[in-house]
Amino acid sequence: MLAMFRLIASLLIICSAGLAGLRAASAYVLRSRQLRTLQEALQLLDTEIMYGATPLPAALSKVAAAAGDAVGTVFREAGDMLGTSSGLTAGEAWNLAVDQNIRRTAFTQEDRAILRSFGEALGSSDRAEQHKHITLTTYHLRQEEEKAERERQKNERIWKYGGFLVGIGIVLLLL
Amino acid sequence: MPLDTAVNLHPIFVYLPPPLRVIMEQLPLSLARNLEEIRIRQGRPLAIKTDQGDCFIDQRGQAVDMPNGAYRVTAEDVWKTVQLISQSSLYAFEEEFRQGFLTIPGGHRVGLAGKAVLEAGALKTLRDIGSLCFRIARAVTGAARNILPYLIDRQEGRPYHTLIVSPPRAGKTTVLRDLVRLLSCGVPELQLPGCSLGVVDERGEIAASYGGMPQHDLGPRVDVLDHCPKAVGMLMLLRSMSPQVIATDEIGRREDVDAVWEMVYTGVSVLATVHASRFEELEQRPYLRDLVAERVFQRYVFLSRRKGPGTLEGIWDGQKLEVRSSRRVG
Repeated sequence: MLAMFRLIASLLIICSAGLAGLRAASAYVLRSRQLRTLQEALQLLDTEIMYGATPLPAALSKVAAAAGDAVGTVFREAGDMLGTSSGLTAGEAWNLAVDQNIRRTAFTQEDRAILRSFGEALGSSDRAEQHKHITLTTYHLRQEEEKAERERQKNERIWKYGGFLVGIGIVLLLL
Repeated sequence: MPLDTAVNLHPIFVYLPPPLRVIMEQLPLSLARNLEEIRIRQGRPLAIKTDQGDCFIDQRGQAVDMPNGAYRVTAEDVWKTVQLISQSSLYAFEEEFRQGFLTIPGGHRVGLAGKAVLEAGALKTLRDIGSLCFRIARAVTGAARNILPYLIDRQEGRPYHTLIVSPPRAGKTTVLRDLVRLLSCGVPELQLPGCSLGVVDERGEIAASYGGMPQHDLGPRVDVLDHCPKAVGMLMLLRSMSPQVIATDEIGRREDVDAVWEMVYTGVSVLATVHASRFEELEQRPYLRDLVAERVFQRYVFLSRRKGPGTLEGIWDGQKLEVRSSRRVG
């Protein structure tokens, strides 16, 4: 009976530690993917601004529909807040949407700082200036994506298998 | 001219940043009902204008005579107002900024003043906006009802080529807008069926379109070419929408006058407005002088502010004979 209990407890520890490791590993993959989605979304926003001169509430909604998942939610919520008569400027609405949704994404504090800095100038200048602003933000995001990719290559495997190994280690210690 | 005083101000106040919105929502009813303008100038007192004149507004939304007691508009108030009227999308309103005003839903206009940015000698845009003026639009339904009978050619069954002449702020656009609405709806009492009209709204004043929809009631048979240069727009509408009447505002430049010349020989009636007070002033303006001399316009409607905006001074025909008093038409 005791042996059975030990076996189940050991399996639980190994699985928990392994799953925690897998989750940490997937965060690296997810961050790279979301940074890429974000850049694509900004390119779309750039097109809406440069060629369509679409006002931001409509432009943000269009981009949200194309981006989907957690990244799209940031765009959609910012657009919704701007569309209502809340008295919020684009920068305020964007930063609020970023703050409310950052936990649902794999973005780090560095990514958040880039997003907030993007919000500061959103919509407050002519098309040429907005284009420059989006290009600069996309450049910073690409750098973060490259960094994220390097970190993924370095850490993904460690976390993937490390979790299970740590779990086994704990079990051995306890036995 | 009776004013429609039941203007709901809430749709205008949502374009004010929270501190100004709170103040304006506390305005006494007597001021709110007759509100004509809200003036927001950076670092200066918040001011409004009603039909009784202008006054300053304090922190509690009460009128004060002296600027010292009034609410002082901050740089943030001005910046946020610009953001709100443009939906935080300045890039989408570059043309409006170049023209110095933009239209918000309801047809209300927000005038802008700031630093002009020039490119090759021409105004490219305005930046560092320091002053805004909300001009509250009130459609004066029936403003043109009394003059319409004098503007219809009964034999031809169409409106005469008509020029509405007045100094600024005397109601010429309001009268033009109501004329368009009446012609578009038709007037059964005058046995006048509705006709299709094309409106070239270069400055966005006649229809005050927002998102492609005229914010003023222009009736069911109107096509609006918004923010399009008059000369180009008139020809475009003629070819594309085959209107019976073309209406436009504030003609005066050479190309406008040339386009009017083209219109009158196509069977389309032209309704237009111009800034002037008297025939002599019209005749001193370089291009308009030819239109008067050649009797292109068959009716001239003169308006003034003598007894308030929209005071009718008289209607003359192309030969400068007053038709309203002699009752030769209508």
